[in-house]
Amino acid sequence: MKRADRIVSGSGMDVIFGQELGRGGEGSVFEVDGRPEVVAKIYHKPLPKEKQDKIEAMVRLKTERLLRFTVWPVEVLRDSGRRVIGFLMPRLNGKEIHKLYGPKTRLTEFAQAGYPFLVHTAANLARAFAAVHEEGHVVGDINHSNFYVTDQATILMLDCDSFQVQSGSKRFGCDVGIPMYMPPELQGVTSFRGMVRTRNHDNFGLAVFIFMLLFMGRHPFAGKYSGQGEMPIERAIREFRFAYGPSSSARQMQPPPGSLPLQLLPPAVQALFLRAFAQESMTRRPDAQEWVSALQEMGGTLVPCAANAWHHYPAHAGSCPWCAMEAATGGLLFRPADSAYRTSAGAAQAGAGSSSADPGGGFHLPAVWGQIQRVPKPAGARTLPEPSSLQPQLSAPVTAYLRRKRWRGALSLLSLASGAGVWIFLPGFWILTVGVLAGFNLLLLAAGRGRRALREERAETCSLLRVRWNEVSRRYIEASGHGAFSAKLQELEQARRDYLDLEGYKAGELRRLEGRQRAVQLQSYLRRQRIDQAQLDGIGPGRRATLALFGIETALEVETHRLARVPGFGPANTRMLLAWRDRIERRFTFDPVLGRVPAAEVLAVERAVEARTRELERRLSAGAAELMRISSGIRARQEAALREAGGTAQALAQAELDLKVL
Amino acid sequence: MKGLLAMFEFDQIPFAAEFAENPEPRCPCILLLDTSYSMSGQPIEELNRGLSSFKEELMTDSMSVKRVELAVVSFGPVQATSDFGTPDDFYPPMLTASGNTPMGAAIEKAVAMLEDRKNVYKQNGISYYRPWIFLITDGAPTDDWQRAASLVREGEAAKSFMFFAVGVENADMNVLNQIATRAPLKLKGLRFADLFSWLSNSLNSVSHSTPGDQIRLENPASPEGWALI
Repeated sequence: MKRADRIVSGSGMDVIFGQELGRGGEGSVFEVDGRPEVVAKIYHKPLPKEKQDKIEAMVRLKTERLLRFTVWPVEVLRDSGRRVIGFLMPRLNGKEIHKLYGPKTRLTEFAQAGYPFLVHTAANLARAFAAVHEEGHVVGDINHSNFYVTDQATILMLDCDSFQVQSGSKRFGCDVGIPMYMPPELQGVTSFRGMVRTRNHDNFGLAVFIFMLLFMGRHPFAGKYSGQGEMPIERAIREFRFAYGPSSSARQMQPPPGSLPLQLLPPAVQALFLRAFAQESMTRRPDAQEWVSALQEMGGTLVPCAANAWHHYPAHAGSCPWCAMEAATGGLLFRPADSAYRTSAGAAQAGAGSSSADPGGGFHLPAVWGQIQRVPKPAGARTLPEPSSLQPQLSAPVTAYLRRKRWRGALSLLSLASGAGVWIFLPGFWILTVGVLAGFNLLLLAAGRGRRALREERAETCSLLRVRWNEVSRRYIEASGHGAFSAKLQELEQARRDYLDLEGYKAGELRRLEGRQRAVQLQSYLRRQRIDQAQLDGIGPGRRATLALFGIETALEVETHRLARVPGFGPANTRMLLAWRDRIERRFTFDPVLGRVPAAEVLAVERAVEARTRELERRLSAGAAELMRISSGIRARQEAALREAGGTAQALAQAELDLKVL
Repeated sequence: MKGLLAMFEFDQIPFAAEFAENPEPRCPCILLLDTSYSMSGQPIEELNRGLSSFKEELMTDSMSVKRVELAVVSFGPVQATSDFGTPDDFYPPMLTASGNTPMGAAIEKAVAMLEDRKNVYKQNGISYYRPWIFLITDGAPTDDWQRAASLVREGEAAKSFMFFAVGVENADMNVLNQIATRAPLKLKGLRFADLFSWLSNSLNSVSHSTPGDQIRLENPASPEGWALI
């Protein structure tokens, strides 16, 4: 811009510029001296005739209605050669719309905005489009920086000079556009020059922005694509792959995890989105007026959530989707429930009894804690039956052996007697005597071998059983131990203490941030204390130059390990410099205004506190059930071990008795 | 109508918090920073200073702060000093110089990290811009860099990322030329501040465009730029 030139407004007044408010690719925006209600946009380059005509036409076409929703040009600005070089427009207020629909920035930039505010803004955006359309113009360049939202949820459109403007039969075109917000029929267009833009094109972009406002900043065509390759948003738009519609899965699209399901919106609004994004209806997308009435109606159906005063949702949904989505993702969509609200609600419930959850799904520590305390501690280990104290019976093989042994005894006596008889009465038949005696001996031998085998077998069984007995009684004692139960209980007690001290935790985190601010401030303070300007006796300019050579120029760099690297810099000088730094550091006072912790960082702490709160609530709520599970697990293992121990003890006692008799 | 919500599953979803709070398309950018011993002294200090001003500059743009994601891999030895996060979550590391220059391994790590991140985006239905890998080195690789070079060639050909290499002081520009398909740039002096300023401007223009758009970057090798070809 040539400042030397005299710049004259359409009303013939000289225009004196104030401060530059912003600078874009096309031009700059300035304050205007003496006229706080308007600002001046001045183009960087001389304008072609067509553009000059467009601005003149726009000024002529300004209406009160347009000026309610846009920063429409109100006066032409000319240089001394009467060429149009810019225009005056109403001063803008508000913030870019993406700061509202993105939850992360919404929490800082529009801290008070709940869902009603978003629905209201969406309706106002549609009203702004309706105003532009009904005057015969088309927005054309729809993008996230061109819509401003005020804290009253009203909309102001920017960059009106890029609109497609209809002046009688003359049409001034719109040459720009961002593909992400363009309808399928304009995807892949390389130049918009000379192209006629229609309201139906605009209606696609309008639907995209309404969607982003209602769906926590999600783009309707950004979904999970199950096919091969990449699915950028423009391709998804071109191929009608709306991620939330009933036919989305047929198009290999799925809504992103943790996003709002379309079905939770009132049916009328669902229907408008489907019509705006479907191929069949691409020639008759919902117009701005249709959106206005549907959104207005939707605004009336919103109900508050019982758990969080900042949550409102369509009554149609049945319960609060934001609570569910926040719990699933761990992200924060709206402001967290005020802790005061939570505490008082918890206190009120404490006396009310045993229910751990109120109808809204809230969390009440006293009730939850009561449940945890009511879980019975598992029974301790009983004394196991000692095998020796049992009255066992001999085992079947041993009983059988003993019976056989009696018969064998009788038989061998018989054979001994008959052997003796033969020898006495039939001395000639000594062979028979030998045979009978041999039979007797064989029988004795067999009996001895049977007993040995049986004894060995029983001894082995006995030692195996003894090992098993030791093992099973150890297992029983282990199973009866309260280790897991007490550990869980201790963990829950810790969670309860943490929950009660959330404020303390938050304060600690904030203190940490403040401490960091202090450290940063101290650093920059030290950096301002230059060695070359300091009073340091004995450290002359030469020494100071050497220090500078080693990067030691300010108090900040005065550190023992750095000084140690400087050649010829002895302990005395080092001590002196360190003492100087100490003196300076003691003089430092923290400026709390300058060192205020940035709002975003405070919010990050709040978010962390909220996440911690939820996590503790989750753990505590699950606590009683988990303790119960641990307790019944202990009981089950205990009983199983007891059964096994009983059987083992019996078998062991029997084996020991067997051994005794063998 | 009670219970309509119950039809939908809201199971715990990994990584979902950051995307629920900020579903904007992402432009991932990995800084591959040489922290080998030769960077000691002024170079590493200027680099550290450049990194903090980089964060500040990205924070001033309301779109970059939502769309740009930074990660830092330092090498000598190779480590992911910061994992992907938007500039507000990025805390510039205090890099110290030590060790050798395992540039090949560092590039391989960066390519793998990008693949992982893209998968996270896809799982979460988040659109993304072509990622950037930005290598800054003052030396020559001390490890085998042939595989890394072919990864870079493949990635560039498939448009799965853009790889920029910047040489500082005595960097081996010859090897950089063999690794990068784009002409490597030579940093004038230690003008890290200007380099990062250029990088943040470029990422700003990317974050204002649509994923897939061709972005015209300001020529860093102009007379007043920070680089020499």
